[in-house]
Amino acid sequence: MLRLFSCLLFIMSLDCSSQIRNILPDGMSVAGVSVADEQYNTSFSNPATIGYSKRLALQFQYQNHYIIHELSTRSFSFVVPNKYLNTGLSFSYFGFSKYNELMIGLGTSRNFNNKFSIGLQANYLFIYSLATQSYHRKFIPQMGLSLHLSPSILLGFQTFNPSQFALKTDQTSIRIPSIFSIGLSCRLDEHFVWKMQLDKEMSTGYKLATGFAYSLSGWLQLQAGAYTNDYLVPCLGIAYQNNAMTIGLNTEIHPLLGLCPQLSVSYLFGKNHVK
Amino acid sequence: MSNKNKHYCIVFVFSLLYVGQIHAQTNSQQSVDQFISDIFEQFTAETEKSIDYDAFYEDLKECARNPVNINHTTREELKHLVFLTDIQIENILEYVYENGAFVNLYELQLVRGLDMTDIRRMLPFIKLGEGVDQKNQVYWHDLYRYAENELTFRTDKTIEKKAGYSGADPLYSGDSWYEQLRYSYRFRNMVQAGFTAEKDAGEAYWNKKIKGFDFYTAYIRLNKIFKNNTLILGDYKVSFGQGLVINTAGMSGKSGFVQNISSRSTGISGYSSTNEASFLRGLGLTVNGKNHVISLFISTKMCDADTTDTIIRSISSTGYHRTQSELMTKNNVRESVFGANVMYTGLNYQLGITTLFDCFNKAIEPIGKTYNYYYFKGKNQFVTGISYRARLNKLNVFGETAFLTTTGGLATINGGSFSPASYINLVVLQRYYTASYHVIHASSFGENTIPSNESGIYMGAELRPFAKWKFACYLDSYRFAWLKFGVDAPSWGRDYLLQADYNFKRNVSMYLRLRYKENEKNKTLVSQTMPELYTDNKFSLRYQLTTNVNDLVFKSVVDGNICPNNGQHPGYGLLFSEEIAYHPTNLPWQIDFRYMMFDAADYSNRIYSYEKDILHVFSIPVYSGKGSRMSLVLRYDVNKRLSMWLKVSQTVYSDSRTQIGSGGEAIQGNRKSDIRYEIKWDL
Repeated sequence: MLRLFSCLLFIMSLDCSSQIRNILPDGMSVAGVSVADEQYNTSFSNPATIGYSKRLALQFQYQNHYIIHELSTRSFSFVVPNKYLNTGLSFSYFGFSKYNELMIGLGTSRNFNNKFSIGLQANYLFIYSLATQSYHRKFIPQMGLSLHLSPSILLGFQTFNPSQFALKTDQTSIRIPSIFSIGLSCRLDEHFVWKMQLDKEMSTGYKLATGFAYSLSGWLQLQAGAYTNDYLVPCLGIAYQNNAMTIGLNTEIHPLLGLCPQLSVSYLFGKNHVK
Repeated sequence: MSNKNKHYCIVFVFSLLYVGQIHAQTNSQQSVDQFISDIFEQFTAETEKSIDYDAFYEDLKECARNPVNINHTTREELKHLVFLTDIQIENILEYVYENGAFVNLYELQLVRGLDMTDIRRMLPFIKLGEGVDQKNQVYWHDLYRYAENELTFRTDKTIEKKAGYSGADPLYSGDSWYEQLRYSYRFRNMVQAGFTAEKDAGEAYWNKKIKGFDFYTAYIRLNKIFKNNTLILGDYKVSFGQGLVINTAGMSGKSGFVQNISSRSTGISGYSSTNEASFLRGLGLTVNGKNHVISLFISTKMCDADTTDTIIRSISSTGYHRTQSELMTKNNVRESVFGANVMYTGLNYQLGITTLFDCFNKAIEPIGKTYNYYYFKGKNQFVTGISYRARLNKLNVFGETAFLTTTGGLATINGGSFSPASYINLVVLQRYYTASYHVIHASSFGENTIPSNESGIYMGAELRPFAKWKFACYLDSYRFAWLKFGVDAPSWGRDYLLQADYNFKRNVSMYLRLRYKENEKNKTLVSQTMPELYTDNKFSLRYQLTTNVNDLVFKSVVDGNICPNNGQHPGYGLLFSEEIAYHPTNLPWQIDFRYMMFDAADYSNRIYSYEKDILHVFSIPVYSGKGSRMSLVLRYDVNKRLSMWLKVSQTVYSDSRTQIGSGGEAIQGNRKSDIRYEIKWDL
C-alpha cells in the first residue's frame, strides 16, 4: 500500500499537464550515455545504432527506479542484420496496473561502410490511465544519426517526437516528451572509452551526462559516470562479456531518492550474418 | 638553375604534395550555389545588419558564369570575389607581375596569404586564361545563339492562416501567396539584362496603386560594346570608395571574415534584387581610360514614404503594400539622384573623387525627437568625397573623407592592412562620422545602418601559426557622440571576437567562435529628463562541425549566448542543429534536411541561425522562445534545362504560447509551417 501510494505521489508530482516522465529507457551504457554507441544496440536511445549490428541480437533490460517495483521499466529488443538494411523491433513497458506505458518501436537503419549510420524508428505508444480507464494510443517518430569523425571518435544525434505530438483525450491532453540528444564517444585506447551526452526535453531542463568504460580484461568491463539534472547523480556499472553474451549491471545513486539499479542482458547469435 | 626553372620545380613539388586536395575539391559535390551560401553565411554571421543576398548572389554567380582570368585581371575584377582580402588581392597581382602567368591552379598555393580554404573558395570563380586579353570577333547572331537565358518562378505560402486574412473585412488586401518572376539574359561579359517582378504575401494583384505584380525591376548592361565603355539602362546599384558618399550594394561591416572591412567599390552594376528600396533607376555610364575611370549616373524614381501634404515624415523601405495604410505610402515621392566618380589608378595607388546630388520633390521633415535632431531634413543634399588606396610593400592603406555641404557634416574612414609574415595578417580601421553627416545612400563600416554619429577604432588579426589551424580576432571600440534610437544619451560600446578554425582532416572541419559585446541602453522605456543608461552585455559562443562523406555533408551546430536582462538575473539562449545534405553527382536530385531545437527564453537572448533554402533565397531566421524546427529542401533537375526546388519547414513552440507573431502576421496555436516552390528554366 505504501509503495502504491509512493508511486501515485511520484506520478502526481509531475507537471499538471500530465507530462510523462522520460519515456525512453536508458541504454546499456552507464549514466545513459547511449546515443553515440556502436557496441550495443540501443534503438530507443538512437535508432542509428541498429545499423552497427552484424549478428542477430537479442537484448533484455530491467531498470528499476528507487527500488520501487512499480516504477520499473522493462525493455526488450531484437535486431536482424541485413546486407542493405538492419531492422529492429523494440518493446518498453513502464508502470503498474493502474498506470502504465507500453511503447513498441519498429526501426530500420543502414550503416554506410562504418563512416556513418542513419536510422528511423516508428514508435507506437500505448498509455493506460486510471483517470480515463482506457488505453490511449499515438504514433511517434524517432530518427537518429551516428557519424565517425575518425576511427576512434563517434558523434551521435537523435530526436524523439520531433514534431511535439500530444495525446489528446476527452478529459485532458497528455504531453508526450520531445527529446533531442547529442553525444560523443571517444575510444582513447583499446581498453578505454569515454562518452558524453546532452539531452534536452523541449519543455524542461537539460541533462548532461558523461561516463567511461574500462576493460580490465577481455571479459570484464568497469563503468563509471555521472549525470546532472536537478542533482548530480553518480553512476557505477560492471559488465561481463564474451563473444556472444554481455551481462551488465549499472546503478545510479540519486542523492535524494536513492538507488536505481539496471540489469541488461544481450545475446548475439551465430557468426557474422552481414558480409 | 634559372629562376623560371626553380619556379617550375617548386610548382612540381607542391603539385605532388597537394594534388589530392585541390583535385578532390574541384570534383567536390558542393555546387556554386552552396559555395555562395557558405560565404554569405560567414559574412552575415556576426552582423545584424540586413544585407541584400540577391545582390551578393548575383555578383558571385556572375563571376561563376564568367570566371575571372587571374592571369589577366585587375584589382576591380578581383574585388568581386568578396571573400578575398585586400592583401590577398594585392599578393595575387604581385605574383603575376613578378613571376608571369599562373601555369596551373596548384600555383595558387605559392601566393602569400592564400591557404587551402581561400583557394577552394576561389576555384569556382576563376580560370587560367592567356596572359593577354583576347579579342574575339562577335557577330549579331551570336547574341541570340550563344547567350544564356534563364527564367525562374517562385512561390511561397504559410500554411496556417494569419490574422491579416481573417474576417469579413481582412486587413490584407491580397491573398497569402508570395510570387516572384525573374528573367536574366547573359552574353559573355558583354551584354546582360534582367527583369524581376514580385508580389509579397498579402498584396493584391490589381487595385488603384498596383497593376499586376507589386514591384518591377529591369535593366540592360552593355559592356565594351561602344569602345571601352559600359552603359546601364534601367535599375542599377552604385558603390564607390568606402561607401561614405554612395553604396547601395550595402556590403560592409564586421563579419566572420575579420580582414574584410574595406568596402568593395564595384562601381555601377545592374540590379535584379527584390529589395524595393536600395537601387537607382535611370542611366549609368562608365568610361574606361588608360589610367582613369569616369562614371556618371542619373536616377529618377518614385519612393514609398509617409507624407503629410508637402512634408515627408519618413521614407519606407519595407516594400510591403498589403494594408490600406501601407498602400497609401506607395510611390508618394519622387527622388532624383545625380552623381559622378573619377578614379585615377597609378602603379601602387588609386585616387577617387565622388560627388552626389540627391533631391526629393517634397521636403523631408521627420517627427521631431531629440535622437533624430541631425537626421537629413529638407529637399536635397549635396555630398562630395575623396577616396584613396595605396600599397607600400606589405602595407595596404585605404580610406575616404566626405563632406556634406547642406549641414557641414564630415565623415572620414581610414584603414590599413599589414602582413609582416606569411602566417599573420593585421588590420586596423579608424572611423569618425559626425552626427550632422547623414547621407541617405551611404553605407560604410560601423554600427549604424547609415554612417553617422559614430567614432571608433577597429583592430583585427588573422594567424595561421600551425598547419590546419587558423585564428582570427578583432576588437572594436566605438562611441556615439549624440543620442540614438533607444539610447537617450551619448554612449559607447565594445565588441570582441575570437574564432579558431581547425581542419581536422581533409573531410572534417570545425570552428569555434566566441564573441563578447557590450553597449549602453536606456534603463527604462519611459523617457526621462535625466536619462539613465545601463551597460548591456552579451557573450556568445558558436561551434560548428562539418563532415564530408562522399556525396553527403553533415553539419552540427551549437550556438549559445548569455546576457543579463537589464541588470537582472542573466538569461541564456541555446540552439542545437543537425543538418544532412545529400548531393549525389550521378543523380538529378539533392536533399537537405535540418533539425534544430532552440531555447532562448528572453528576446535579448535571441539567436540567428542560417538555414539552407531554395535558389535565390538566403534564410537567417531569428529564434526566441523554446521549440524545435525541421526543414527539408529538395532539388530535382528534370533535364539539363529545367530544375525545381521545394522547401517544407515547420517550427513548433513548446513554451505554452497560443499565438505566434502579432498584428496581421499573428497565427493562432504554436505551429508555423511554410512551403516554398521554385522552378528554373534555361531557355
